[in-house]
Amino acid sequence: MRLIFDVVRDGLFSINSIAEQMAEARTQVTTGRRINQASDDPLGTALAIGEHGTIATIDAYTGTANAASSRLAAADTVLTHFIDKLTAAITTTAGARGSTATAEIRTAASQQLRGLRDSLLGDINAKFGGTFLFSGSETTTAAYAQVGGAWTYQGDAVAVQLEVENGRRVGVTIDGQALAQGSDTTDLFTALDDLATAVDNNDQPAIQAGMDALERAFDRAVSAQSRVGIDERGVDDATARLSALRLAAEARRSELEDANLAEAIAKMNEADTSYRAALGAVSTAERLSLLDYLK
Amino acid sequence: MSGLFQSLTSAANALDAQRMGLDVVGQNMANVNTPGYARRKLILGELPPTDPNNAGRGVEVLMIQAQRDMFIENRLRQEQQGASFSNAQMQSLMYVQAGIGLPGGGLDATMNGLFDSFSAFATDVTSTPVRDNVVAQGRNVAQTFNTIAQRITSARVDADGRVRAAVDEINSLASQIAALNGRIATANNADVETLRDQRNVALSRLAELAGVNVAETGSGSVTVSLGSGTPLVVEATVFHLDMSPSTPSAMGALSIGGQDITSQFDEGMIGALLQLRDTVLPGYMTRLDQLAYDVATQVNAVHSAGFDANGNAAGDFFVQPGAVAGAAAAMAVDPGLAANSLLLAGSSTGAAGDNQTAQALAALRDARVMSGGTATAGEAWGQFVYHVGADIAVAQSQSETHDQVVLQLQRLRDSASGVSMDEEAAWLMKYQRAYEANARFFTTVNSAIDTLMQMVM
Repeated sequence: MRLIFDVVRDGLFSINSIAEQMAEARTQVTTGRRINQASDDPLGTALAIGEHGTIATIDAYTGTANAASSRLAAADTVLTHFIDKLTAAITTTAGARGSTATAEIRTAASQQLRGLRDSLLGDINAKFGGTFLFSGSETTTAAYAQVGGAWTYQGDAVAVQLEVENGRRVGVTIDGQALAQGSDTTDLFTALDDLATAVDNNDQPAIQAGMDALERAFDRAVSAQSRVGIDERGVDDATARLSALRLAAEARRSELEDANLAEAIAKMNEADTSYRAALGAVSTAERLSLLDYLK
Repeated sequence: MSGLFQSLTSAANALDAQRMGLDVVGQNMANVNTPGYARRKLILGELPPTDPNNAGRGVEVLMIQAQRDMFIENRLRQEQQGASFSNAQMQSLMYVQAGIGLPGGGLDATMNGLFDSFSAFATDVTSTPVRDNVVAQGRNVAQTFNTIAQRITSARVDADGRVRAAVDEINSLASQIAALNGRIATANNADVETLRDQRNVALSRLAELAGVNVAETGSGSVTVSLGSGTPLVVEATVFHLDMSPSTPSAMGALSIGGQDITSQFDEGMIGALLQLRDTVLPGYMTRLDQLAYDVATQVNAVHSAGFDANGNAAGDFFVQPGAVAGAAAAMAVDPGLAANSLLLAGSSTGAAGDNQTAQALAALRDARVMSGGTATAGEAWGQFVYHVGADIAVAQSQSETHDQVVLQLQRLRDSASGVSMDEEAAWLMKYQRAYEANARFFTTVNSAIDTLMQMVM
């Protein structure tokens, strides 16, 4: 068979083929990515899109968990103060109760109870991030205020919840009425007002009723703080799980998308050597012919 | 005496024949780089003696033969049609692919951005900057859909334009082939090989443009037909290919003599471009439109069930598409919402801090409510990207295979028709030596005649 080497067609075909391989390897090395366009690995690309979605979902949950954690920590702190003040109110009431308390002691106690009432009011109307913590889902309205001379709950009973991981929701606002009133007929602030008046008047049955109301409020506050604590721990657990899930998803994404640099560099060097060899082979292909020997 | 003069004539014939050989070598060397040129070979024949006591009358040139293998030429044309089909398809799809982006950097990223903003909105539904961000992310998603739809439409229009340009070239080549057919048929034994070379080049280009069948007739003409047998060139007659005007709603149709033959093109560059224009790209657009329609409809369904920041029942988030067709190109955030993010719905009760609608919007990211309830938005996009990538990968693979086969066939063609400089150099030496030897023979005979003449004088 006659063999004819066409330097343009055959030579360039070889050079171009190797140049393509080198360009591909070089792109992988410079970008660090195995997939630089969908056609590089269509299935891998589709799967990588899924992994990016998974990572984005995890990141969104993580962001939500962080927000929930901050709000729960704020609520926890406020409840601690709330409980401390209730304890102080109970102690003050105990000191003003009985026949040994003088009029001066009772006056001081009633003033202290009114001060604690204001302080507790401040706690239950605490804001975090611009929204009220104890107004349920009415987060732009203070939980308690005096309306027409009576303490009135202005929020609702619906706790705002955040989904911190798939299917797990935690409440990040608290029903202030459930905390300050519960199943009592009057709320904590009215009870404190009545108690202060009873202390002033040395009305022992009323003082006892006020004392009982404070103790029930204390129990409700401790219970609420306990629930917040449980949620905080749950959020921490969720955050840890999300972190582990993200690492796994990132590993899968990397396996799909990222280039094996050692392999890519080896391929690039191999292609470079082949490219030089092809250039050399093509350039020498027609260096000599029979015509050179004709005299 | 007559014997010496006959020898002189014989030597003169031989000198002519060897010179002709040198001419053929020169012609071959001159056309070593001429596309379509088939090397010529000098066919010599012995002139037999007229007298049994005579050695012979020398040599004569029987013909100058072009070295062709029609089977390989036909196979090459067919493979060129396939290679041209794959290359054209690959180039156009690459343009579409460029608009898709990498995983985590295309529409999936903008949709994740929107769902992220819904999640952030759920953590603080009262924040105006967070609301503004949701609207901005929605606008980003809509614009990304618009851009991809525009790119697909643009690729379609481009394919249509390239078909139109190819139609002009096909008509020009057909006219050229018909003219060459006419000249070959009426050449009356004159050298037609140059005309055949030119016709082969035209046929080769025609095969790249469209799937053609070529049949040679007894007169040396070729009949060229398209697709399923519609004639394009018969002898010296051309049947012109026409393309109707393209409109936004209907692309141009191809016809010959008023008969629509668009569907007959399934090979060559035009076959690829028509398949892209009429099947592949509309298929992509349908998938994209479906995804845009599903995203808009699902987001709207959740959004419009909620309440805005003023406690009023909310409207749509996206402008609700009237139909699937055109949904991607027309996708936009509701103008009222775009102008006032307080109209964004986060609450399902009307309470200012309620975030249930915002959470339901964020939950759409993982909800299999797209593609008839079989996929999430990310998965539906992944399927779209997979189809585009797989189509290009198949076209690339086919292109590489066709290129290899074309290269092999070109080498086979060259083994029959190509010019080898080494071979021509060898023939050059051979004819040169033969010419020198015959010239020496001529001189010797001439000298013998001189000697004889001196004896007479």
